[in-house]
Amino acid sequence: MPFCSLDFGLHFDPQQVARVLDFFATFILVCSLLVLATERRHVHVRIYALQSLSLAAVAFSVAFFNCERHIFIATALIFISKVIVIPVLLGRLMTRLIPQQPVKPMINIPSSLLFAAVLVLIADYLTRNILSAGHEFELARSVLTDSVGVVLLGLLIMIARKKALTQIIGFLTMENGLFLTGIAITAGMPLIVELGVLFDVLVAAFLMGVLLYRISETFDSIDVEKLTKLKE
Amino acid sequence: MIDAQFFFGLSLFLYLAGAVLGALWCLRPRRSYYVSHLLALAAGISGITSSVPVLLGQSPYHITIPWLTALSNVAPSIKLFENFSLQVDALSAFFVFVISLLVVPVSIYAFGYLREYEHKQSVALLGVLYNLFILSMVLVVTANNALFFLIVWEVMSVVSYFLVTFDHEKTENTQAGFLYIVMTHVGTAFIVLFFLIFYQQAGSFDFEAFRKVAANLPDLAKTLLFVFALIGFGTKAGLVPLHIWLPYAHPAAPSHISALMSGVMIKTAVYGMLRIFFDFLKPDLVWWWGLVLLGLASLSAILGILYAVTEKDLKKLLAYSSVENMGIILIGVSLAMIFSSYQTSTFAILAAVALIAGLYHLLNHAVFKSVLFLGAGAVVSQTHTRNIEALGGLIKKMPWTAACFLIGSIAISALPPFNGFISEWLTFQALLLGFNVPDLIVKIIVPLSAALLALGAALATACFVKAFGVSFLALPRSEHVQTAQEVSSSMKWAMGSLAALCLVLGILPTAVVRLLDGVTGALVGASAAASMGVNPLTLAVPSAKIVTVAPLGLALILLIVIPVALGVAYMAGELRTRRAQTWGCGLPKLSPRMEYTATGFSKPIQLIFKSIYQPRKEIEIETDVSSYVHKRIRYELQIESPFEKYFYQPVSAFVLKISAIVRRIQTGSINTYLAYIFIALVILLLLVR
Amino acid sequence: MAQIYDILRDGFSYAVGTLQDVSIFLILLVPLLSAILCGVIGKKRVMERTSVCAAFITALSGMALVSRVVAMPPGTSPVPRLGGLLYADALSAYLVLIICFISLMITLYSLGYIGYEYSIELFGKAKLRQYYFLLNLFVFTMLLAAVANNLGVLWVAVEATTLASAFLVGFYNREESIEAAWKYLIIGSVGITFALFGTVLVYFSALSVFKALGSPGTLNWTDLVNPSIATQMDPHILKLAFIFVLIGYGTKAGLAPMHTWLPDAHSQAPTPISALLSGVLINAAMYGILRFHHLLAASPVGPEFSSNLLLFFGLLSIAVATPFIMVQKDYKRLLAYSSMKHMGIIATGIGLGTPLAIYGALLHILNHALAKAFIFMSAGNLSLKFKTKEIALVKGIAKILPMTSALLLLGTFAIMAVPPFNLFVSEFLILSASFLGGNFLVGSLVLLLVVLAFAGFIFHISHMILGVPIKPLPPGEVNPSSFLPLSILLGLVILLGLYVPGPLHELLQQATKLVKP
Repeated sequence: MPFCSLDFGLHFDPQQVARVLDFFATFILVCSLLVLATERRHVHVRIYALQSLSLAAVAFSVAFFNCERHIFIATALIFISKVIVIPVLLGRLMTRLIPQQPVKPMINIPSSLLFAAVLVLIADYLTRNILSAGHEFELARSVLTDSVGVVLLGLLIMIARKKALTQIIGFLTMENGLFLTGIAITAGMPLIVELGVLFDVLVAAFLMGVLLYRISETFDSIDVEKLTKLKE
Repeated sequence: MIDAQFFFGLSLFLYLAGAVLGALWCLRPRRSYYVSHLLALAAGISGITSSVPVLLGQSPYHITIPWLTALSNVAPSIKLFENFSLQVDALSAFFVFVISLLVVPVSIYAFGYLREYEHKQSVALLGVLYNLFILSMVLVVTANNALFFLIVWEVMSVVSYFLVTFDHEKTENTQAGFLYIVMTHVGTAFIVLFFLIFYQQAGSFDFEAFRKVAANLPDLAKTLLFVFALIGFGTKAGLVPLHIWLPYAHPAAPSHISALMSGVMIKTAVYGMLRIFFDFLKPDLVWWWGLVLLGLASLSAILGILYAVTEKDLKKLLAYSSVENMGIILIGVSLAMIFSSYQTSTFAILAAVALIAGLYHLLNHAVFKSVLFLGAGAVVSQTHTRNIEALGGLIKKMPWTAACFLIGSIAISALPPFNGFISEWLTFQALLLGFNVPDLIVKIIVPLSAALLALGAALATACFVKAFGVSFLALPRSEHVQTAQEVSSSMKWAMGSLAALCLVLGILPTAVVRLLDGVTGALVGASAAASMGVNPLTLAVPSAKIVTVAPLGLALILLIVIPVALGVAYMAGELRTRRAQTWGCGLPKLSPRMEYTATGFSKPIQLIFKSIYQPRKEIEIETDVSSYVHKRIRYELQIESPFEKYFYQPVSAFVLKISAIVRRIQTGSINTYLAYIFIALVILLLLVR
Repeated sequence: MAQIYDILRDGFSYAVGTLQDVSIFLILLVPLLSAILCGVIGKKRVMERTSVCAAFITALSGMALVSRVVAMPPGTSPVPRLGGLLYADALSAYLVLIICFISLMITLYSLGYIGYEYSIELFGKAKLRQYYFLLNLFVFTMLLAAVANNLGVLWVAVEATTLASAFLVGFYNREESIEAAWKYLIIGSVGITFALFGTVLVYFSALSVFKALGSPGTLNWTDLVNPSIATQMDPHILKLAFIFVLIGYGTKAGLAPMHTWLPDAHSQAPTPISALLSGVLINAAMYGILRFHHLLAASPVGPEFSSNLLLFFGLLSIAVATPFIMVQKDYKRLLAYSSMKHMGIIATGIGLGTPLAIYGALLHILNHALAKAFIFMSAGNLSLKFKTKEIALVKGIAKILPMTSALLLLGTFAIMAVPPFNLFVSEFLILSASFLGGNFLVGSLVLLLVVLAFAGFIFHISHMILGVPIKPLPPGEVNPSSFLPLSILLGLVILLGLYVPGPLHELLQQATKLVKP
C-alpha cells in the first residue's frame, strides 16, 4: 500500500523536512509555555489537545517523509488517545468538578515564565553536547532541544501550579515531550514499546482523572495544598 | 582420660535442648521452666568437666561448624574465611570453666526463685532465654572466627536485652533495657570496625589468619585496632566512662540473671581483650596501650565504688561495685600488657604475675558477686523492695541468706580469709612490680593507680558494711520486712555453696595459681607458678624483695585463735546475753525511723568527695504558725553522673537536633517533592556535562 | 519394578523439564489469568482460593525457572522467548524468585488481614474484588519487569506497577490514603518518565551502531550488551541516559531525594500491600537500574561512572532516612523509612563495585524482602487490633498480643541487621567489601548511620511492645491465620542468617557476574 513519500515517487529536500518538523516541535514548546501563562483550566485542556495534535503532525511527517512505516500506527494511536480520548475525558471530568475559588500558584506567572526561559536555555545547553558528539541525524538538533525543553517545562508546570488538574496537564506535557524525543531523534521506538508506552500513558491519565475526582469529592477542592497531611 | 571434647559438645547440646524443650513446652510454663533449668544445670556440670582437662594441660581442641561455609569464598578471588570452628584452648577453657562454675549454683537457685515469677505467663520464656544466654556466652569465648564471634556476641547482647526487660511493666526497666541495648550496639559497632580493619590486613576472618598477620601491621592500623578494641570491649566491660548502662541494666534483670550478667557476661569483654591483646597482637603491644587501659581501669575502680557507696538500691549498689571490680581485673590485665610490651623474659614473668592477678580476681569476682546478687535476689523476693532504707533486721528472719551475704561482703571487701583478699593483694603486688619498668611515665602512673586501688578497697569495705548493716541488722524499717521469711532450700544451698567457694578460693591460692598459670603461660609465654608457690601454704611474688602471704596458714591460725578467744570470752563472762533498752536521749520510745540510715552512713564519704559527686540537694521545709516550728522537712539528694550530664546528654541532644532539621525536608507538599527531583536532575545533568 | 521406577523417573524428569521450559510463560500467565478471574467472579472464597493457587503455581514455576537458569553452563545465556521480548538470566531469575515467594506469603497473609477488615465491614464487596484483582495484576507487572528483555518493555512494566498499585495505596478512600495515592501516582509517573527518556537516549545511541552494522535497531538488552554493540556506543549520551534512568527508576526505588512518596504510600496502603511495596516493588525498580548499570559497564563509559553515582545516592538515602527513623510518630512510616535505608545500603553495595560488595548487595535484596515482609505482617496484626498507626497510642502490646509482639520484636532485630538474622550477613559482607577495597570512610559512615537508626528504631518499638497498656483491650490475636506465613518467614530469616544454601549461592554468584561484567 502506498503511504509514504517514496511510494509516491516524491523526494523532499531534507532541509525542508527538518524545517517542517522544527515548526511543529517549536509549536509544541510554545504550547507548554502557554499552559504556564494561563490559569484557566478549560484553556489548559484545549492547549493540550492542540499540542498533541502537533505531536501527531510531527509523527506523521516523520512517517511520511522518512518512510518509517510503523510510525503511521503510532500517529494514529497518538491522534486517537491524546487528541481525542484524553481531552474528552478531562473535559467531562471538569464538568463534574465542584466550581471553586482560584488557587494561588506556587510560582506566579511572570516568574514561572522566567524560569521557563532558563529551562529552555538549559535544554539547549544539554542538547548541544549530544549533537557535538557527532551524529548524522540531521533533524535532531533543534527538535531535540525543543523536546528536552518540553519535558522540563512539563515538570515546571507540575512544580509551579497547585491545582491537581494542572498537574495532570503538566505530566501529559512531559509525556508529549518524551514522544517528541522518541519520534524525532530515533524515528520512533520499536512498535511494541511505542504501543506499551501509549497504553501506559492512557491508563495513567485515566487513573489520575479518577483520583482527581476522588480528591475533589473528599476535599471539596482540587488544590493540592490541601494534600499536606502526611509529612515527616 | 576424660574426653573433654565430647563433654563440651554435650554441654552445648544440653543448653540448646534446654532452650528448644523450654519453647516446646511453653503451654506448661512450670514444667518448661524446670526442664530448661535442669538441662542448664546438667550442661553446666558437663561444661566444667570439659574445661578442666584443658586447664590442666590437655592440648586445645576444635569443633568445626558446617554452616555458612557457602560464604567462605563469595567470588573465586575473594575469600572471607577458611574454617568456621570453635576452639577451646587454655584461655577459652578458663572462661568456659568460670561460666559453668556459676551456672551450676545459679540454676539450682532458679528452681526456688521461680515463685517470684509464678504469676507471670512468660516463665517458660525465662527458661528459654536463660539457656540461650549461657549458650551464647560459651560460644563467644570459644569462637574461632570473627564472623561467628560477632554473631554470637550480638545474640548474647540481644538475649540479655530481653532478660533485662523481662519485668517490663516497670518503666525504669524498659528504659534500662533501651540504654543497655543501644550502648552495647555502639560497642559492637566498634568491634565490627576492629574486625574489619583486621580483615583488611589479613584477608580473612579466621582468628588463625589474624595471628599470622599481627607481626607486620602498619602503625596506624595498630593504633586504630587498639582504640576500637578498647571502646568496643570497654563498653561491655563497663569501663568508665562507657559504664553508664551497667548500673541500670544489671538490677533490672531477674536476680539470678543479674548474677550471671555481673558474674560472667561482662567478663566476656575481658576475654575479648585478652584474646586480642595477648593472642593476636602480642608482638605489636605498645607500652602506652597498657598505660591507657591502666588509667581507665583505675578510674573505674575508684569511681565505681564511690557511686556504690552512696547508692540506696541494693542491686544497683552491687552493679556499681561490678564497675569497680572490672576496674581491678583490668588493672591486672593492663599491667600485663605493659610488661609484655617490653618483650623480654624477665618482664614476661612479671606479666604472668599481673595476668594471674587479673584472672584470679575475675574468678573471685564471679563467685562473690553472684553470692551477693543471689542474696539480694532472696531479699527482694521476700520484701519486694530493693531500697536499703526500707529494709533492716533481716538477719533474724533470713539467717542463712544473711550469713551468705555477709561472707560475700567480706570477700568483696578484700578481707582475709576469703578470696577477694588474695586477688586484690596480688593485684597490688603486681602494681608495685611496675616500678621495674624503665619508662618514667609508667613509674608515675603506677603508684597513683596503687593509691587508688587501696582507697577503693577501703571504700568497698565501707560500702559493704553499709549494705549488710543497714539491710540485715537493727530493726525493720518498713512493713516490707514484716512478712519476710527464709527462702527455699534450693536457693539456700545455691548461695551456701558459692559462699563456701569464696572460702576455698581464699585459702588455697597456690592451687588456683597453678591452674591459672597454664592460661597465662600460653598468653605471655612465661610461667610464674614455680616462683609464686613457695610451698603449698605460702604464696609469693617474684621481685627483689620476696613478698609472701600464707592464707591457709592464716586460716589455720584463725581456726585455733577464734575458739580460744571465744573460750576466753566465755570464761570471762562476756558472752552472756544482756537485754536492755537502747539509750534514746531521753525519748520515751524508739521507732525504726530513728535508726541510722544508709544515707547517713555514707554522708561523710559523700562530704569528702563532694567535688566528684557534685550532689544536688533539695531541702523543703514546711512551717506551721511560726517559722521556728517545722511541720515537715523533705530532704532530697541527687547525684548526677558527670558523664551523662556532660557527654551523653549533649551528644544525644545534638543528634536529635540535627534530625529535627533534616526532617523538615519532608514538607508534605507535592510541589516541593517534584522540585527535589527536578533539582537533583538538573544538578546531575550540569555536573556531568 | 525397576522398569516402573525408570518410567516414573523419566516421566518426572520430563515433567520437570517441561515445567522449566514453559515456566517463563507460566509466571506471567498465571497471575494475569488469576487477576482476570478475580475481576470477573468477585466471590470472596473463589477469589481467595484462586489467588492462593495462582501464587502457589507461580512460586513453583519461579522455582523451575531458577533451577533452569542455575543449571545453565557458565557463559551461555538461556534462550530468549517471544521474539526476544522475554528473557531470564541469573539476575532476573533471582528477582523472580523474590517476587514469587514474597507474593505467595503476602497472598496467604491477605486472606486473614483483608478478610478481617471485610468482616468488620470496613469496606464492601466491590472493594474486595478490586483488591484481589489489583493484587494479582500488581504481581504480574512486577514479574513482567523481571523477565523483560526489551528495555522498553521493562519500562512499560515498571510504569504498570505504579498504575496497578496506585489504587491499592488509596484503597481505604480516606483523606490520607487519597493524598498518598495522588503523591505516589504523580511522583512515580514523573520519575518514571525520566527513565523512559533515558531509555530513548540509549536507543538513540545504539541506533547509529546498529545502522552501521546494517541490522535493525532494537532495545533488547541482550543485543545491547553484546560487545560489538556496547563498545561502540557514544559514552556521552550513555552518561546522560544513565542520569535520567537513575533519577527515574531511583524514584521508584526510593533513593533520596526522590523518595518522598515512599513513606506516604507505604504507610497508607493496606499492610499486605505495604509489605509488597517495601519488600518487592522497590527491588524491581533497583533491578532496572542494575540492567543499565551493566550496560554502562560494558560500554566505553566503564563501571566507575554509574558506580560512583549509585554510591553517592546510596549513602545519601541512608543519611536522609536515619533522622526519620530516629524521630517518628507512625510505626508504618518507621518501617517505610527503614526500607529506604536498606535500599540505600543496597545501592551503596552495588556502588562499591567489588564482587564481594555486589554479592552482599544482591543477598541484601532478598534478605531485606524477607525481613521487611515479616515485620510489616507483624505490624499489620498490631494495627488490626489497635486500629491506629500512631506510636504514642500503642503501648504494652506484649500484654495484649503476646505472639505478635514477640514476632515484632524479632522482626525489629532482624530488620536492624542484628545477628543471627539474615540482614546482618549481607550488611556485613558490604561493610567487609568497603574495608577490603579501602573505602574506610564509606564503611564507617554506613556503620554510624546504621547504629543511629538502630537506636531510634528500638526506642519506638520497645515503647510499643513493653510496658503497661494505655487502654485495656481484651487480649487475643485477631489474625491467627497470619502465623503460617509469619513462621515460614521467621524460619527463613534466621536460616539465612546462619547459612546460605548452595543453589542460592550459585545463583547469587552468577547474578554478581551479571551486575558487573
